Amino acid sequence: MRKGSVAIVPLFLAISLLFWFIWFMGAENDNLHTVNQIANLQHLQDRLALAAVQKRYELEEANPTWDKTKVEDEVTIYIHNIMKINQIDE
Amino acid sequence: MRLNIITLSLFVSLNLYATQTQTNVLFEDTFTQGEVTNEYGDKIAYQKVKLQTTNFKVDNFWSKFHLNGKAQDNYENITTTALVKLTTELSFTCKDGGLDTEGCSGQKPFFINVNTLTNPDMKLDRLGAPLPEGEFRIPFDKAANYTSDRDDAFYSLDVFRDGEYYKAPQTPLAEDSPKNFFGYIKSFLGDFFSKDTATTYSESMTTHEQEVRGRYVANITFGLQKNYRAKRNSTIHTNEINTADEQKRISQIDYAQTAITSTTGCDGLFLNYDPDSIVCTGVSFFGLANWMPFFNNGEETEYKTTAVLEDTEVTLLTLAGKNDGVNYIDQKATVDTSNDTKSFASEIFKPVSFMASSVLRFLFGENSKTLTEVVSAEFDFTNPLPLTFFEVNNDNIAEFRHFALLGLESIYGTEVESCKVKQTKTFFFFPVGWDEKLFTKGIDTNTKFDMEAGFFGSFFNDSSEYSELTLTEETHTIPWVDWGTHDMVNLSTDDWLDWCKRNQGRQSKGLFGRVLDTFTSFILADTRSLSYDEQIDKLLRDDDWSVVEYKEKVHKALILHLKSLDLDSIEVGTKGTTTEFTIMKTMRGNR
Repeated sequence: MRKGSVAIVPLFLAISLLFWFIWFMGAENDNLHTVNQIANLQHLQDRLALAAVQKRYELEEANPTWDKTKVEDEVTIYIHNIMKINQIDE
Repeated sequence: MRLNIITLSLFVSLNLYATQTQTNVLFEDTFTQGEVTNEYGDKIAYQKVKLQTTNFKVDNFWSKFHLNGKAQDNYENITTTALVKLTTELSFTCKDGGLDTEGCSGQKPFFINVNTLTNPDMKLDRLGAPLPEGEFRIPFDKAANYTSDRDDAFYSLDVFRDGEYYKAPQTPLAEDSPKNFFGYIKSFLGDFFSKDTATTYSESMTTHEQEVRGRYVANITFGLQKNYRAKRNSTIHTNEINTADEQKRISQIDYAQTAITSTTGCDGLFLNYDPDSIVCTGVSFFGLANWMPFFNNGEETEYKTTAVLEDTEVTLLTLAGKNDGVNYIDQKATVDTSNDTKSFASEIFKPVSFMASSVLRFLFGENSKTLTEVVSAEFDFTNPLPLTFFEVNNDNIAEFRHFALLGLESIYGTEVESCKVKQTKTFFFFPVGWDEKLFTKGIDTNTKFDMEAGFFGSFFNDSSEYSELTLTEETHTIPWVDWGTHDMVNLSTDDWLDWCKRNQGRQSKGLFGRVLDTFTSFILADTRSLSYDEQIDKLLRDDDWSVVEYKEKVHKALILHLKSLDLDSIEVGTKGTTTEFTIMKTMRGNR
């Protein structure tokens, strides 16, 4: 064995650390990602809440013959479509 | 191969497990809490709306490098519940016209005194029978008649408005874009009326009055400008006229207008005239005639009008028409294609047999009752137009009253002024001279006719021909001829004027044509029989009297048919309303 070969140890450690870090950060990143996604969705829901109420009364005004369930179903479809565009609903 | 099978089965099982992501919207019923109206009288309600996303999936990338990592997280239920405040005001044209909402609100420039809604006279229909509960018929009255204890009329207000919300902009508008305030109001009124009237206005109004008028029409159409709305308990200056200013001073409103119809007759909208007649009996619609002397023998007829009344009527009619999608004028008018003018079909006019005292006051002042015939045109609206009035108690706005405008009634009354008559005297069928008399309303006269005069009189006298008339007997004792006792018929001024009305040539049926066949003059308490009139007709015809000149005035009044709206019946989406949505708070739920 050559004398200097022990120098590989810190290098090896460093690479291990790097892999560990990727392993660790990867998981955390997924958590962050999830939190982010949910927060996003809720913001979107926030925004759409008003739109849903407005849409509901618009539909009600435009279609006086529809009953309440029908109007609300249509609102759901409307919101669902927006959610699709935002790649949330499938 | 094996790998493929594993992959395939994995996919299948994944698809079986993974349900689709779906967002549902759940509404709760609207509810009220705390204050039900804001300080401007708008209705406040609340609604909860819940957005619920089920099976929300988050794909994980780094899990590939993680032992316990899941490729996908699935969140069953992510919800946001929002509490939305619904502020509903009774205004709709901003929304329809795509205008700046700052210029519109629910408040209209009308007010009533506190006791008006409890006054039983306001709850009677046009025949004097009680209206259904909650309905009112409230006449318009002018500012000059206002006192703080009037409980039988509504009055109009002058409320300030910024120039941009009712005046023409400096730079002319593009023809096809009414989407600005002035353009909209122009096209709005223009669509319905202006092109059809041949009436022009003289510059009888001051610049200030023209501004007052402009903002009054805009205030009715769009509601008061948001900035200048009145708050509950604020003051209005009922003893001032046209003094509104930026400091939110609110006063009463009044302006008159001289309109000139240059004519061959009386062009205009509310017209039903016979160009050959000496009397032009029209009432032009747009901006005309509360007081209108309509004797016309020149090239031009001038009308002095209380334009506030006309503007109120025209604007409300237009608004209601817009709300219903119907042109009420077209519906009831006939169009003369030769000169492109409209006149109201005379069939829509009905005789009026009952009238609230305030209408009379409006027409003539407190005590005068000289109307000879009154007819009205009634408009009923399909979708009642919501309006908010101020209810005023000693110059303070006590409350805001919400009404639905079920219809309106335009009242026309004619008042006889005078009649000039002449008698052609004949001697054995040859005209030998003539006699002229002038009868003026209010000046009592008595004309006597000796029914047994003359050579034939004593032989051919048939007393049944004048049995209904006012008779006196007179004994003439001239020494050399014994006259005996003669029947004398007495005709009063009113008899003469009535006769003139019936015999004024081609307009013998009076102002509004056939309507008057069934008309009984209720104001004169006219209970005379038909034969009374016939006998006068015969008497004066036999005596060769004819009408030379007959003068009348037309008066006009307006009654709104309103239904009180309680707050419960004003909902979001009620036709003619605008609602603002505000999120008050949001609540979140995960999983």
